[in-house]
Amino acid sequence: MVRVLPGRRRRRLAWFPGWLIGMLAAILWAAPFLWMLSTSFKPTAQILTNNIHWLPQTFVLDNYRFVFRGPVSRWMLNSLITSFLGTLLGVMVGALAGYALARIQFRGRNAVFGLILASIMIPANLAVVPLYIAFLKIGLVNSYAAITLPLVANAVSVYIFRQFFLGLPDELEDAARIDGAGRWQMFIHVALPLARGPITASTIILFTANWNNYLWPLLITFSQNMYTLPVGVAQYSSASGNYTQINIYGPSMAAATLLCIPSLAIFLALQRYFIEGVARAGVKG
Amino acid sequence: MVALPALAQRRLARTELRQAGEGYSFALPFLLPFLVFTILPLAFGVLVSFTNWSIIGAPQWVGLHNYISALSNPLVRQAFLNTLRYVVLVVPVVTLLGLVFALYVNQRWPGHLFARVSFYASNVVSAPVIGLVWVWMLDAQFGIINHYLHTSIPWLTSTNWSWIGVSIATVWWDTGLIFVLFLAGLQEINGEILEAAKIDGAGPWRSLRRIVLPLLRRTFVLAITLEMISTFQIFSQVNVMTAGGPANSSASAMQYLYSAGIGQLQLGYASAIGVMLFVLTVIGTMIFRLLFRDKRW
Amino acid sequence: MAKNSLRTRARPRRRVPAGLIVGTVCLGLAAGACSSTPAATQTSHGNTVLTMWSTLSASDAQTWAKMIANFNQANNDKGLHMQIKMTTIANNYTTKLTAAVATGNAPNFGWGTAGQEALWAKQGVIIPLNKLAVQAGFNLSDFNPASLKDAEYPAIGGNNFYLLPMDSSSFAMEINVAEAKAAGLNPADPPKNGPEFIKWLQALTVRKNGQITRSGLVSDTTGLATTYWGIVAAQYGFQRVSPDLKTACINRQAGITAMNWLLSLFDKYKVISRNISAPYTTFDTGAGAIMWEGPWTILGNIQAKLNWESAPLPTIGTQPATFFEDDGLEVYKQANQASYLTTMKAIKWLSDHSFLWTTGGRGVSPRKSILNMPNYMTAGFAPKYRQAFITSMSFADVASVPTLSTADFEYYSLGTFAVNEVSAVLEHKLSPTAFMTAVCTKWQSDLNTDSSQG
Repeated sequence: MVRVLPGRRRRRLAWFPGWLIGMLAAILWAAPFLWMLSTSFKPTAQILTNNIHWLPQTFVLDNYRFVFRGPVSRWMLNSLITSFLGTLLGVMVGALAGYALARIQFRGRNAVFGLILASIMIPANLAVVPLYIAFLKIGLVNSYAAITLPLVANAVSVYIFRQFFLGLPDELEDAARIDGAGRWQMFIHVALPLARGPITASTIILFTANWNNYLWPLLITFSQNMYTLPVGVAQYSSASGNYTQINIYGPSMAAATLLCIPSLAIFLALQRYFIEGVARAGVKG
Repeated sequence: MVALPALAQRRLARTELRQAGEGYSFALPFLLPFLVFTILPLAFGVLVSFTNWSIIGAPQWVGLHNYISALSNPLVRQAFLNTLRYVVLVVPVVTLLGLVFALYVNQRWPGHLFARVSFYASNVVSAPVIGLVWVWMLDAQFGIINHYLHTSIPWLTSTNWSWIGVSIATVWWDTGLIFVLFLAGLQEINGEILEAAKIDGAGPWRSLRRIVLPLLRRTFVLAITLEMISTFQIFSQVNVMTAGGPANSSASAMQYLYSAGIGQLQLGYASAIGVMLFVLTVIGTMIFRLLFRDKRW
Repeated sequence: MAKNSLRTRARPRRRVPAGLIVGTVCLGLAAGACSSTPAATQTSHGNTVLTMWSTLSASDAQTWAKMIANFNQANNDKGLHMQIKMTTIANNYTTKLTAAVATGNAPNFGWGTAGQEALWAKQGVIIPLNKLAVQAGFNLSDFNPASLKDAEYPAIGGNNFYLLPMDSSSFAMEINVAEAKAAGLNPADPPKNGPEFIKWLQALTVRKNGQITRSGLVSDTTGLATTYWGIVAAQYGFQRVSPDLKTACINRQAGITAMNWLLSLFDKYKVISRNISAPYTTFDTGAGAIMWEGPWTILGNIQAKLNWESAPLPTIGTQPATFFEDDGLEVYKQANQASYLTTMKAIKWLSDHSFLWTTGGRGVSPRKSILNMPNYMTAGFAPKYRQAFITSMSFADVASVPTLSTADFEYYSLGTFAVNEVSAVLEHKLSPTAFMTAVCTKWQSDLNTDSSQG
């Protein structure tokens, strides 16, 4: 997909202002992260001041110490476990359903897909409270299962796999069928090995979405120990959190940094796959 | 349908049955949780919107009372107005910025890898990060935005500005995804077409308008649709940044649904608002798609 | 995570069934592992185990945890033979508790705020406590009658109170001592009436280039400002509702006068900056000289190493009045009604031993016997911080309105009806007279609806 446009050198010189503006925009776009990081290491006096320094004049760890009074590592573990389980199941289940919707002609197939598409437009909060009451009634609260179960049926995953499998040439499966393969074998031996792209794409999209999931874990967890990381970090909000009096900006920046790090680290390590994956999902759609 | 001889018909029916069996058994691991955790609660939610349920006791049917009550509640009207304002401000800005960034990165000038990472990174983090960081940056007294703009706009504490403050944070959060979609769309464009245009003497703006943008049409439709749906349902960052305040000035429909339903246990009322939001989203999306009809969708 | 799946997905033949097994096993383990909702009364080694849900956070939570620990130590296989198991619920308490009651899984007791839970009283989620209190051995005349009354819901339970008050928090005036001295004022002689108060504020306000850099009085334009208005209105004789909860707005003119007074601080005297986003932080960093607040701010001020003191509010109007709130313990509906008395006895122990809670934590004890304890005034936080909050309780009468639509009457809150209206006035979108009309119309309609619902 790399298209090298000839004449780049000439273009660059003529469009230097464009390049400069673009680079400035890119740096500015990342600036909030830098400011967040910088603030997290500053003492209160240097935060609540109009004397702006991008680099802390004094490095302190007080803000992080404050945040770590809460069970942060437990929050991170909870997020890891629920995101991993939710993604694993969501991708597997999506692959199966996407394959069926794409390659098996069965009655009601279009209606099912239409329903799945429509579900993306439904406000999540509408289903949340009835679901919540139901979970409470059967006692399924404040546990990994409670957090993970609603994540499993992810419409985006189905969509990505369906779009991909639609594009598979029929000859491949026909060849397998002639060899006597049943549907399951066709799926495992023919379709799935080719599906590296959508598997990557949906893994990354689902993992990010599950990791960032906020409302459901907020409701379904009761004790601090079961919070996922976003829910725990949100406690440091001045609007809806628990600390409204003291200088919360330092600790809230420390908390935000901690929450960012896993997502950003995975993203930076795999950014090529991220971007290609999302792009592929978008293009094929 | 062609009338088939009896044997062939039976064979067809058996094949259909077999395929239905295969199809549904493949789809079952998805459909089961989907029905149980999404569709059923949703249906129940819609039903509840016609009752006055408060969790305790059985729901009582009240017909359209919740809908009428919601529509005549100025706070609810304000919440929907805010939601529309968010959509009208955020969607075009995010689309435009996403396109511009994608055009820039697609040039593959020096530093484009850094730019690509930078523009997408903000999309990867979760709502509390957005909320916490931007509450700090938009602080009226010590925030860095006011510092560089040399103003003292009370971004999140004024009824006039709060929704704009939330919109700024939302733009920063959402643009990354749209940027990547446009980037992918751009990379699908055959470079030779652009080369041919250049040889014919077309300047960069010309080729942008006449060639690139029309070819990006499908991406436009997808990007705007996704961003519209997402912005109609805006909630997490509103909750973390302002909790809908001050004075309901930044509350989105979803935020109001949350505080009325989950905060004050007016579940029938909240569900009615949810249903209305869904209808609004569908209408908004349909209007957009009608205006930009594309048979290839 | 993603790394692992990339590598393993290269071999789908072996992975898919294994993955399914792994997934199911994980789910199974997960479903079994980790705590679920705490169930109500149980027994263990001859102790009765009660469950409590706490909504406290930060330093309050620490002090309360100590109270529970003291209880458990004193009553483990001796004394009451009880243990309390406490869970902290940080958000969505209303939904969680209601759902728990609906499914029969409610805790035995928890924290509540007096007068704000009319719906729960009506639904039977919280139970009336008069008889139980007497049975458990309480001497009700030991309590401040205003606090017990605060916990009643007249339209629902008559003279029954639905919450055992544990602490009363009133609004007092917090003064930044250093700034007062620098302005030539005497912190030992705080302002007692309207004119003196304005004089202080004018002396304390610092401006630079026409912008206020230090506000004389710290205020936002939402909850805190509304509470200021509500207090001053009460001082001029305004009442939100009649005692029988049937009529709204007694003495409207008083309300209008108070609103004009508040506006004058912003517009005429310019002693409040309109840019304050976080009042506490503004006060703690010295960007505000005076704040009217509750005792929950004491610890924060101390931690900010502020040189400050508290004093009773000045009487701006014609009679002293201030805002107050009672917090306490409420008993939740259980399947087993015999547990109610057991729970009440535990609550009595906690109340009897609440010296720690009301000196080292927030709030003032509603019980005369505790207030009269020898070192009550000097224990915990220093008197120069605490004293005013104690003495203010004698004239505190602005409290929650115990009706179903209580949210619309709330002052010290965000995004509720009254607060929104006050914000509109402060932003000059509504005149004080129009404000009064709007607010009284809504309040009357609320009272009408509530009384028709019984």
